[in-house]
Amino acid sequence: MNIGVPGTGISLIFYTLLAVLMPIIHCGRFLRNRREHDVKFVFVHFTYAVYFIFILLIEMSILASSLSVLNVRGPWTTMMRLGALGTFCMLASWITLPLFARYYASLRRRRKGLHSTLPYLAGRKDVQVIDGIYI
Amino acid sequence: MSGGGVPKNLKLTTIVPAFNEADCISETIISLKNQSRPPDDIIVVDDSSTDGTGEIARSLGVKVVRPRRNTGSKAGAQNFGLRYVTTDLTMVLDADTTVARNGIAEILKAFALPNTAAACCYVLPRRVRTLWERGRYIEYLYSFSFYKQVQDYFGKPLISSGCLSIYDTKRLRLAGGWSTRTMAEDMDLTWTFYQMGYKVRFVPSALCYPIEPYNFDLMHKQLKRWSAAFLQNVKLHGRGLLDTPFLFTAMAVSLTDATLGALVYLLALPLMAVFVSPWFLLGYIIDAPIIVVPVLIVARRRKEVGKAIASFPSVFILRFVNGFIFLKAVWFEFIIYRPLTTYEKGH
Repeated sequence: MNIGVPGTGISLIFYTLLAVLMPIIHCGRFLRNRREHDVKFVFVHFTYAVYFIFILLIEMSILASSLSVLNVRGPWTTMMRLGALGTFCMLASWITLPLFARYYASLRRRRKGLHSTLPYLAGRKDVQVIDGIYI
Repeated sequence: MSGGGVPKNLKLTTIVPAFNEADCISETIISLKNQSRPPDDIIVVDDSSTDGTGEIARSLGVKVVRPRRNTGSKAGAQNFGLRYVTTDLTMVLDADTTVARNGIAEILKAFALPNTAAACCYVLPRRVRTLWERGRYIEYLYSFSFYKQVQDYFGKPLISSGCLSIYDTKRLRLAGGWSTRTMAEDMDLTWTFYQMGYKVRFVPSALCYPIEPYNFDLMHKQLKRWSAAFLQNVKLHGRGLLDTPFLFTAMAVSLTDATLGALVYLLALPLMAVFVSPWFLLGYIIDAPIIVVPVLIVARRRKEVGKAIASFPSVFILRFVNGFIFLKAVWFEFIIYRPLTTYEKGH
C-alpha cells in the first residue's frame, strides 16, 4: 500500500524482499565504508520483513487448506493459479527489465561513444541543450 | 539516515505558496519562526488570494510576493517565489503545514551527504478527527515507517513530498524548477533529479503536519489529482527511468499493484463473495495483521496507541475509495486520453 494508491500486496512482497536483503547490503556497504544508515535501522526493517513473511505464509496456508471448504473448484482454482503465476512473472519482469535495458543502453552508448543522454528532458521548453548537456 | 552534522554555512529560504489560506497561514509562519534553526528568509507567494492571506502573512513580518494573476497551480506559485531566492537552499512548505520544532535542523543534516538535491521528512496529519483523516493517519504511519524507509535505504525515495521539501537551489534551477506538465510537481521533480544523477533523501526524524482532506469531497479531489498525477509521471518518465533500475521497478510495481488492487477490490472480491463463498469478503482486510504491527509500534512511540486503534478501520474504507478513483484515473489518462489538467486543492 503506497500512499494515495490501493494495492494487492505486490508492493508489500517487493519491499519485504528488499528489507530481507538489507543486512547483506549493509555488510557490503560497511566493507566499502559507504554506510548511511545505522545497524538499528537495518535490524528494525529486517524484523518487519520477517514478520510480514511469517504472516503471509500463514495466510497462504490457511487459504490453500480452505479452498475445498470454500467450494473453490474448477475454473476458480485455475484462475487463482494463473493470477499467482501472472503476478510472479510481472514482478520478475519489472525487476529484470531495467537491468537488461541498462545493459543494452550502456552497450549502445559504448558503441557510439556517448555518455548519459537524459532523453526525458528533450522537448522541455525550460531546459536548454548546450553541447549535448541539458541545463 | 544518519548524516553528519548540520552544515552551518548553508543559507535557507522558505517559499510558502498560498491561495486563500487565511485560516492556517499564521500557524505555518509561526511554526517556521519557532524552529530551532529558523530559515534565513521566508517568502509567502500570495497567489492572488481573495481572503486576505497576504495581509496576514505580512503582519507576521515575512516577505510577501504576489503574481499579477493566479498562477493556476502550486508549481506556478513556487516558481514565482523561486525568482526571489538568493540562498543555497530552498525549502517549500504548504501553507496548511506546520513543522516540528527541530524539523528544519534535522532535514539540513541530509545536505552534509554528497550529491543531495532534495530532502523530505515524515508526514503526519495535524488533525485526526474524521474518517478520512483517520484513514490517512494510518496510511502515513504505515507507509512512512516501512515503505519510504526501505526506499531511502536503497537511495530512491519515490517522492520528495511537496508539503515540505528542502532543495539545493542550484540543482533545483538546473532541473528547471517545478514543472507544470503534470499535476504532481513534486514527483516530477524527484524523478527528474534521479535521472540527472542527484540524490534525494528521506529524513524520518523530521516531522511535518499538514491538514489532510477532512471530508469526502476534498479527499476525492486530492486522490483524483494524485492518481492522475502518478499516471502522468509514469507516462512522462517511464522509459527514462530505465536508467535508474530501482526507481523503474518501484514505479512499475506501484502501478501494477494499484491497478490490480483496484480491480480486485471492486470486481474480483465481490464476484467471488457472491458466486463462491462470502468468506472471500475477508480479502478486504487480509493484510490487517501486517499493517497493524508497524502502525502500533510507531503509535506507541508517539503515545497515540488509542488514536491508532480507533483510526485503524478507516484505512480499509479509504483504500476502497482509492481503488475506485485510481481506476477512473487509468480510464481517463491511459484509455480515453483525457488527462487531468486542472489543479484542485485537496484542502
